[in-house]
Amino acid sequence: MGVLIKGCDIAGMELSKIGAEVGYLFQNPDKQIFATTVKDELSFVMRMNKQNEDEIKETVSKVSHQFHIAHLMDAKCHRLSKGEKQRVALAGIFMRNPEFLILDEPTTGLDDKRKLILGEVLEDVKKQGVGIMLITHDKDFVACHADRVLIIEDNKVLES
Amino acid sequence: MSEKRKYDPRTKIIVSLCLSSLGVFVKNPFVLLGITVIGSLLALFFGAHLLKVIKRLKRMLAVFLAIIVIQSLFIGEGNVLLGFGQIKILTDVGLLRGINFLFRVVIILLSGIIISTSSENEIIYGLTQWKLPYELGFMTMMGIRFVPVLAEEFKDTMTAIQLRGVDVKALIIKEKIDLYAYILTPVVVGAISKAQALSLSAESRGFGVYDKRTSLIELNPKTRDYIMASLSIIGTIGLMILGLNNGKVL
Repeated sequence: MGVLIKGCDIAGMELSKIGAEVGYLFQNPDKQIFATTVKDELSFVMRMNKQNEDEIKETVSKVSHQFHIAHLMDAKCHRLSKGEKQRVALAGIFMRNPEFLILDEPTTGLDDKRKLILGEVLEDVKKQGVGIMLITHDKDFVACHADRVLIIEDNKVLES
Repeated sequence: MSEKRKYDPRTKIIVSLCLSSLGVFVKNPFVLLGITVIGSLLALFFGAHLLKVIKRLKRMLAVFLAIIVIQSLFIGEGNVLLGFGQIKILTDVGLLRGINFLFRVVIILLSGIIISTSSENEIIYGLTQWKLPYELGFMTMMGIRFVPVLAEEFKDTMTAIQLRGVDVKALIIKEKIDLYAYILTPVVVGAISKAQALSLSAESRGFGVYDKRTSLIELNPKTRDYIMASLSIIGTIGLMILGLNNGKVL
Protein backbone atom coordinates (compact mmCIF):
# COMPACT_ATOMS: atom_id res chain seq x y z
CA MET A 1 0.00 0.00 0.00
CA GLY A 2 1.31 3.44 -0.86
CA VAL A 3 1.33 6.64 1.17
CA LEU A 4 -2.14 8.20 1.41
CA ILE A 5 -3.14 11.80 2.01
CA LYS A 6 -6.80 12.15 2.93
CA GLY A 7 -7.41 8.75 1.34
CA CYS A 8 -5.59 9.57 -1.91
CA ASP A 9 -2.42 7.77 -2.94
CA ILE A 10 0.39 10.29 -3.42
CA ALA A 11 1.95 8.23 -6.22
CA GLY A 12 1.51 10.31 -9.34
CA MET A 13 0.03 13.23 -7.36
CA GLU A 14 1.32 16.69 -8.37
CA LEU A 15 3.96 18.05 -5.98
CA SER A 16 1.92 21.23 -5.56
CA LYS A 17 -1.12 19.20 -4.42
CA ILE A 18 0.98 17.33 -1.84
CA GLY A 19 2.48 20.66 -0.73
CA ALA A 20 -0.99 22.16 -0.30
CA GLU A 21 -1.85 19.45 2.26
CA VAL A 22 1.47 18.70 3.93
CA GLY A 23 4.17 21.15 5.02
CA TYR A 24 7.68 19.81 4.42
CA LEU A 25 10.77 21.25 6.05
CA PHE A 26 13.94 20.44 4.10
CA GLN A 27 17.02 19.22 5.94
CA ASN A 28 18.96 22.11 4.41
CA PRO A 29 16.94 25.36 4.74
CA ASP A 30 19.14 26.97 2.06
CA LYS A 31 17.38 24.75 -0.46
CA GLN A 32 13.95 25.75 0.84
CA ILE A 33 14.22 29.53 1.13
CA PHE A 34 14.13 31.21 -2.26
CA ALA A 35 13.15 34.86 -1.74
CA THR A 36 15.54 37.77 -1.19
CA THR A 37 14.15 39.02 2.14
CA VAL A 38 12.31 37.29 4.98
CA LYS A 39 9.21 39.39 4.31
CA ASP A 40 9.18 38.30 0.64
CA GLU A 41 9.67 34.67 1.67
CA LEU A 42 6.67 34.72 4.01
CA SER A 43 4.35 36.67 1.76
CA PHE A 44 5.18 34.61 -1.37
CA VAL A 45 2.29 32.15 -1.30
CA MET A 46 -0.33 34.79 -0.44
CA ARG A 47 0.95 37.04 -3.23
CA MET A 48 0.80 34.13 -5.68
CA ASN A 49 -2.81 33.61 -4.58
CA LYS A 50 -3.47 37.34 -5.15
CA GLN A 51 -4.70 37.96 -1.61
CA ASN A 52 -5.08 41.59 -0.57
CA GLU A 53 -2.20 43.53 0.97
CA ASP A 54 -3.86 44.10 4.38
CA GLU A 55 -4.55 40.40 4.75
CA ILE A 56 -0.95 39.56 3.75
CA LYS A 57 0.48 42.08 6.26
CA GLU A 58 -1.70 40.76 9.06
CA THR A 59 -0.83 37.10 8.43
CA VAL A 60 2.90 37.82 7.99
CA SER A 61 2.93 39.73 11.28
CA LYS A 62 1.05 36.94 13.13
CA VAL A 63 3.22 34.10 11.78
CA SER A 64 6.48 36.03 12.25
CA HIS A 65 5.68 36.55 15.94
CA GLN A 66 4.69 32.91 16.34
CA PHE A 67 8.07 31.78 14.97
CA HIS A 68 10.20 34.44 16.76
CA ILE A 69 11.35 36.12 13.52
CA ALA A 70 9.43 39.42 13.67
CA HIS A 71 12.74 41.33 14.08
CA LEU A 72 14.10 39.77 10.87
CA MET A 73 11.42 40.91 8.43
CA ASP A 74 13.74 43.13 6.32
CA ALA A 75 16.80 40.89 6.67
CA LYS A 76 18.33 39.23 3.61
CA CYS A 77 17.64 35.49 3.78
CA HIS A 78 21.15 34.42 2.76
CA ARG A 79 22.64 36.35 5.70
CA LEU A 80 20.60 34.56 8.38
CA SER A 81 22.02 31.95 10.78
CA LYS A 82 21.05 28.28 10.36
CA GLY A 83 18.55 28.47 13.24
CA GLU A 84 16.95 31.62 11.85
CA LYS A 85 16.73 30.06 8.40
CA GLN A 86 15.01 26.98 9.90
CA ARG A 87 12.41 29.20 11.56
CA VAL A 88 11.90 31.31 8.42
CA ALA A 89 11.40 28.12 6.36
CA LEU A 90 8.94 26.80 8.94
CA ALA A 91 7.09 30.13 9.04
CA GLY A 92 6.93 30.10 5.22
CA ILE A 93 5.21 26.70 5.39
CA PHE A 94 2.76 28.01 8.01
CA MET A 95 1.55 30.81 5.78
CA ARG A 96 -0.66 28.09 4.26
CA ASN A 97 -1.89 26.55 7.52
CA PRO A 98 -0.87 22.96 6.78
CA GLU A 99 -2.65 20.16 8.63
CA PHE A 100 0.46 18.03 8.81
CA LEU A 101 4.18 18.72 8.96
CA ILE A 102 7.18 16.60 7.96
CA LEU A 103 10.46 17.84 9.39
CA ASP A 104 13.67 16.39 8.00
CA GLU A 105 16.54 16.61 10.53
CA PRO A 106 15.49 20.06 11.80
CA THR A 107 18.09 20.16 14.59
CA THR A 108 21.17 19.51 12.43
CA GLY A 109 23.72 22.26 12.98
CA LEU A 110 21.74 23.99 15.74
CA ASP A 111 23.26 24.78 19.15
CA ASP A 112 21.36 24.01 22.38
CA LYS A 113 19.82 27.49 22.62
CA ARG A 114 18.45 27.34 19.08
CA LYS A 115 17.24 23.77 19.57
CA LEU A 116 15.33 25.03 22.59
CA ILE A 117 13.68 27.80 20.52
CA LEU A 118 12.81 25.30 17.77
CA GLY A 119 11.35 22.93 20.38
CA GLU A 120 9.14 25.73 21.78
CA VAL A 121 7.95 26.62 18.30
CA LEU A 122 7.06 22.98 17.55
CA GLU A 123 5.21 22.62 20.85
CA ASP A 124 3.13 25.71 19.89
CA VAL A 125 2.41 24.15 16.49
CA LYS A 126 1.41 20.87 18.16
CA LYS A 127 -1.06 22.71 20.40
CA GLN A 128 -2.76 24.07 17.26
CA GLY A 129 -3.62 20.49 16.32
CA VAL A 130 -1.06 20.12 13.54
CA GLY A 131 0.35 16.60 13.17
CA ILE A 132 4.15 16.47 13.05
CA MET A 133 6.42 13.75 11.73
CA LEU A 134 9.99 14.40 12.82
CA ILE A 135 12.83 12.54 11.10
CA THR A 136 15.98 12.88 13.18
CA HIS A 137 19.06 11.31 14.73
CA ASP A 138 18.78 13.65 17.73
CA LYS A 139 17.55 11.32 20.50
CA ASP A 140 17.48 14.06 23.17
CA PHE A 141 15.22 16.25 21.04
CA VAL A 142 12.93 13.28 20.39
CA ALA A 143 12.82 12.44 24.11
CA CYS A 144 11.72 16.01 24.90
CA HIS A 145 9.06 16.47 22.22
CA ALA A 146 7.80 13.23 20.64
CA ASP A 147 4.55 11.47 21.63
CA ARG A 148 5.38 8.35 19.64
CA VAL A 149 8.76 7.10 18.45
CA LEU A 150 9.64 4.67 15.66
CA ILE A 151 13.23 3.52 15.37
CA ILE A 152 13.96 2.52 11.79
CA GLU A 153 17.07 0.78 10.51
CA ASP A 154 17.61 -0.74 7.07
CA ASN A 155 13.97 -0.02 6.12
CA LYS A 156 12.69 -2.00 9.11
CA VAL A 157 10.94 -0.73 12.24
CA LEU A 158 13.12 -1.92 15.12
CA GLU A 159 11.14 -0.38 17.95
CA SER A 160 7.82 1.35 18.36
CA MET B 1 39.50 4.19 -19.15
CA SER B 2 38.87 2.98 -22.70
CA GLU B 3 41.50 3.36 -25.41
CA LYS B 4 39.17 5.67 -27.34
CA ARG B 5 39.14 8.28 -24.55
CA LYS B 6 42.92 8.39 -24.48
CA TYR B 7 43.03 11.01 -27.18
CA ASP B 8 44.82 14.17 -26.12
CA PRO B 9 42.31 16.73 -24.73
CA ARG B 10 43.77 19.32 -27.09
CA THR B 11 42.77 17.14 -30.04
CA LYS B 12 39.21 17.08 -28.70
CA ILE B 13 39.27 20.87 -28.22
CA ILE B 14 40.40 21.31 -31.87
CA VAL B 15 37.69 18.91 -33.11
CA SER B 16 35.07 20.76 -31.04
CA LEU B 17 36.22 24.17 -32.26
CA CYS B 18 36.03 22.95 -35.88
CA LEU B 19 32.54 21.50 -35.39
CA SER B 20 31.14 24.55 -33.61
CA SER B 21 32.72 26.94 -36.16
CA LEU B 22 31.08 25.02 -38.98
CA GLY B 23 27.82 24.97 -37.01
CA VAL B 24 27.88 28.77 -36.85
CA PHE B 25 29.01 29.49 -40.42
CA VAL B 26 27.15 26.90 -42.47
CA LYS B 27 23.63 27.85 -43.60
CA ASN B 28 22.57 24.87 -45.70
CA PRO B 29 20.38 22.52 -43.59
CA PHE B 30 21.61 19.40 -45.41
CA VAL B 31 25.25 20.30 -44.71
CA LEU B 32 24.29 21.10 -41.10
CA LEU B 33 22.62 17.68 -40.88
CA GLY B 34 25.83 16.11 -42.19
CA ILE B 35 27.92 17.96 -39.58
CA THR B 36 25.47 16.83 -36.87
CA VAL B 37 25.87 13.20 -37.96
CA ILE B 38 29.69 13.51 -38.09
CA GLY B 39 29.67 15.24 -34.67
CA SER B 40 27.54 12.44 -33.17
CA LEU B 41 29.83 9.76 -34.60
CA LEU B 42 32.90 11.60 -33.27
CA ALA B 43 31.29 11.95 -29.83
CA LEU B 44 30.65 8.19 -29.77
CA PHE B 45 34.17 7.55 -31.03
CA PHE B 46 35.64 9.60 -28.16
CA GLY B 47 33.60 7.54 -25.69
CA ALA B 48 30.69 9.91 -24.91
CA HIS B 49 27.48 8.37 -23.54
CA LEU B 50 25.17 10.03 -26.04
CA LEU B 51 22.04 8.19 -24.90
CA LYS B 52 22.44 9.46 -21.33
CA VAL B 53 22.88 13.02 -22.62
CA ILE B 54 19.81 12.71 -24.86
CA LYS B 55 17.75 11.48 -21.90
CA ARG B 56 18.90 14.47 -19.84
CA LEU B 57 18.10 16.87 -22.67
CA LYS B 58 14.56 15.53 -23.05
CA ARG B 59 13.30 18.22 -20.65
CA MET B 60 14.78 20.91 -22.91
CA LEU B 61 13.02 19.57 -26.00
CA ALA B 62 9.93 21.75 -25.47
CA VAL B 63 12.16 24.85 -25.17
CA PHE B 64 14.02 23.99 -28.39
CA LEU B 65 10.76 23.40 -30.26
CA ALA B 66 9.31 26.66 -28.92
CA ILE B 67 12.39 28.59 -30.10
CA ILE B 68 12.17 26.97 -33.56
CA VAL B 69 8.49 27.94 -33.82
CA ILE B 70 9.16 31.50 -32.60
CA GLN B 71 12.13 31.85 -35.01
CA SER B 72 9.95 30.62 -37.84
CA LEU B 73 7.05 32.94 -37.01
CA PHE B 74 9.06 36.16 -36.90
CA ILE B 75 10.56 35.83 -40.36
CA GLY B 76 8.43 37.33 -43.12
CA GLU B 77 10.67 36.47 -46.10
CA GLY B 78 9.96 33.64 -48.55
CA ASN B 79 6.87 31.80 -49.70
CA VAL B 80 3.96 31.67 -47.29
CA LEU B 81 3.21 28.17 -46.01
CA LEU B 82 0.59 29.26 -43.48
CA GLY B 83 -1.21 32.58 -43.25
CA PHE B 84 -4.45 34.43 -42.69
CA GLY B 85 -5.17 36.97 -45.42
CA GLN B 86 -2.23 39.39 -45.48
CA ILE B 87 -0.71 38.04 -42.27
CA LYS B 88 2.19 35.64 -42.85
CA ILE B 89 2.38 33.10 -40.05
CA LEU B 90 4.88 30.61 -41.44
CA THR B 91 7.15 30.94 -44.47
CA ASP B 92 9.54 28.44 -46.06
CA VAL B 93 12.53 30.67 -45.16
CA GLY B 94 11.31 30.92 -41.55
CA LEU B 95 10.92 27.16 -41.31
CA LEU B 96 14.39 26.64 -42.79
CA ARG B 97 15.94 29.03 -40.24
CA GLY B 98 14.15 27.25 -37.43
CA ILE B 99 15.55 23.91 -38.57
CA ASN B 100 19.03 25.44 -38.98
CA PHE B 101 18.81 26.77 -35.43
CA LEU B 102 18.03 23.29 -34.11
CA PHE B 103 21.03 21.78 -35.93
CA ARG B 104 23.31 24.57 -34.64
CA VAL B 105 22.25 23.98 -31.04
CA VAL B 106 22.82 20.22 -31.41
CA ILE B 107 26.26 20.75 -33.02
CA ILE B 108 27.35 23.11 -30.21
CA LEU B 109 26.08 20.62 -27.62
CA LEU B 110 28.00 17.82 -29.35
CA SER B 111 31.15 19.96 -29.23
CA GLY B 112 30.70 20.33 -25.47
CA ILE B 113 30.03 16.59 -25.11
CA ILE B 114 33.26 15.76 -26.98
CA ILE B 115 35.31 18.02 -24.67
CA SER B 116 33.60 16.56 -21.60
CA THR B 117 34.98 13.08 -22.42
CA SER B 118 38.27 14.35 -20.92
CA SER B 119 38.53 15.14 -17.21
CA GLU B 120 38.68 18.74 -15.96
CA ASN B 121 42.32 18.30 -14.95
CA GLU B 122 43.31 16.94 -18.36
CA ILE B 123 41.63 19.88 -20.11
CA ILE B 124 43.22 22.47 -17.81
CA TYR B 125 46.63 20.85 -18.29
CA GLY B 126 46.08 20.70 -22.05
CA LEU B 127 45.23 24.39 -22.12
CA THR B 128 48.29 25.31 -20.03
CA GLN B 129 50.43 23.35 -22.54
CA TRP B 130 49.09 25.82 -25.10
CA LYS B 131 50.56 28.54 -22.86
CA LEU B 132 47.21 29.59 -21.47
CA PRO B 133 47.77 30.82 -17.84
CA TYR B 134 46.78 28.06 -15.39
CA GLU B 135 44.46 30.41 -13.45
CA LEU B 136 42.54 31.23 -16.62
CA GLY B 137 42.16 27.55 -17.57
CA PHE B 138 41.10 26.70 -14.02
CA MET B 139 38.54 29.51 -13.93
CA THR B 140 37.13 28.45 -17.31
CA MET B 141 36.64 24.90 -16.07
CA MET B 142 35.13 26.08 -12.79
CA GLY B 143 32.77 28.30 -14.79
CA ILE B 144 31.65 25.29 -16.85
CA ARG B 145 31.23 23.29 -13.62
CA PHE B 146 28.89 25.98 -12.34
CA VAL B 147 26.33 25.51 -15.10
CA PRO B 148 24.92 22.31 -13.50
CA VAL B 149 25.17 23.99 -10.06
CA LEU B 150 22.93 26.80 -11.29
CA ALA B 151 20.54 24.28 -12.83
CA GLU B 152 20.43 22.38 -9.53
CA GLU B 153 19.75 25.61 -7.56
CA PHE B 154 16.90 26.39 -9.93
CA LYS B 155 15.46 22.87 -9.65
CA ASP B 156 15.58 22.98 -5.84
CA THR B 157 13.85 26.36 -5.83
CA MET B 158 11.09 25.10 -8.12
CA THR B 159 10.58 22.06 -5.84
CA ALA B 160 10.40 24.35 -2.78
CA ILE B 161 7.82 26.54 -4.54
CA GLN B 162 5.65 23.58 -5.53
CA LEU B 163 5.82 22.21 -2.00
CA ARG B 164 4.21 25.47 -0.86
CA GLY B 165 1.20 24.43 -2.90
CA VAL B 166 1.89 26.58 -5.97
CA ASP B 167 1.02 24.78 -9.20
CA VAL B 168 3.65 26.26 -11.53
CA LYS B 169 2.22 24.46 -14.58
CA ALA B 170 -1.16 26.13 -14.08
CA LEU B 171 0.27 29.67 -14.04
CA ILE B 172 -0.32 31.91 -17.05
CA ILE B 173 2.77 33.21 -18.91
CA LYS B 174 2.77 36.60 -17.14
CA GLU B 175 2.60 34.92 -13.74
CA LYS B 176 5.40 32.54 -14.73
CA ILE B 177 7.59 35.49 -15.79
CA ASP B 178 6.84 37.21 -12.45
CA LEU B 179 7.74 34.01 -10.62
CA TYR B 180 11.05 33.59 -12.45
CA ALA B 181 11.91 37.26 -11.83
CA TYR B 182 11.12 36.69 -8.13
CA ILE B 183 13.53 33.77 -7.80
CA LEU B 184 16.29 34.88 -10.19
CA THR B 185 18.19 37.02 -7.66
CA PRO B 186 18.22 34.41 -4.85
CA VAL B 187 19.33 31.67 -7.28
CA VAL B 188 22.23 33.84 -8.50
CA VAL B 189 23.11 34.86 -4.91
CA GLY B 190 23.12 31.16 -3.94
CA ALA B 191 25.50 30.34 -6.79
CA ILE B 192 27.78 33.27 -5.84
CA SER B 193 27.86 32.04 -2.21
CA LYS B 194 28.90 28.60 -3.48
CA ALA B 195 31.59 30.21 -5.66
CA GLN B 196 32.93 32.12 -2.62
CA ALA B 197 33.03 28.91 -0.55
CA LEU B 198 34.82 27.13 -3.40
CA SER B 199 37.36 29.94 -3.72
CA LEU B 200 38.03 29.85 0.05
CA SER B 201 38.44 26.09 -0.12
CA ALA B 202 40.91 26.36 -3.03
CA GLU B 203 42.98 29.08 -1.33
CA SER B 204 43.05 27.22 1.97
CA ARG B 205 44.67 24.35 0.07
CA GLY B 206 47.41 26.59 -1.28
CA PHE B 207 45.96 27.50 -4.69
CA GLY B 208 48.18 30.06 -6.45
CA VAL B 209 50.93 30.07 -3.79
CA TYR B 210 53.71 29.03 -6.15
CA ASP B 211 54.46 30.48 -9.58
CA LYS B 212 54.98 27.09 -11.21
CA ARG B 213 52.77 24.06 -10.79
CA THR B 214 53.75 20.48 -11.29
CA SER B 215 51.27 17.95 -12.62
CA LEU B 216 50.67 14.26 -12.26
CA ILE B 217 49.16 14.18 -15.75
CA GLU B 218 51.48 13.93 -18.71
CA LEU B 219 50.11 14.67 -22.14
CA ASN B 220 51.97 13.17 -25.06
CA PRO B 221 50.07 13.63 -28.31
CA LYS B 222 50.38 10.56 -30.51
CA THR B 223 50.31 10.22 -34.28
CA ARG B 224 46.55 9.58 -34.23
CA ASP B 225 46.07 12.90 -32.38
CA TYR B 226 47.94 14.76 -35.11
CA ILE B 227 45.95 12.91 -37.79
CA MET B 228 42.60 13.63 -36.11
CA ALA B 229 43.43 17.32 -35.52
CA SER B 230 44.77 17.78 -39.06
CA LEU B 231 41.74 16.10 -40.64
CA SER B 232 39.40 18.30 -38.61
CA ILE B 233 41.18 21.52 -39.56
CA ILE B 234 41.55 20.53 -43.24
CA GLY B 235 37.89 19.41 -43.39
CA THR B 236 36.67 22.65 -41.83
CA ILE B 237 38.77 24.92 -44.03
CA GLY B 238 37.89 22.82 -47.08
CA LEU B 239 34.17 23.09 -46.43
CA MET B 240 34.43 26.83 -45.91
CA ILE B 241 36.42 27.32 -49.15
CA LEU B 242 33.94 25.13 -51.00
CA GLY B 243 31.10 27.23 -49.63
CA LEU B 244 32.78 30.50 -50.55
CA ASN B 245 33.36 29.28 -54.10
CA ASN B 246 29.85 28.11 -54.93
CA GLY B 247 28.09 30.51 -52.59
CA LYS B 248 25.61 27.90 -51.44
CA VAL B 249 27.10 26.13 -48.47
CA LEU B 250 27.90 29.24 -46.44
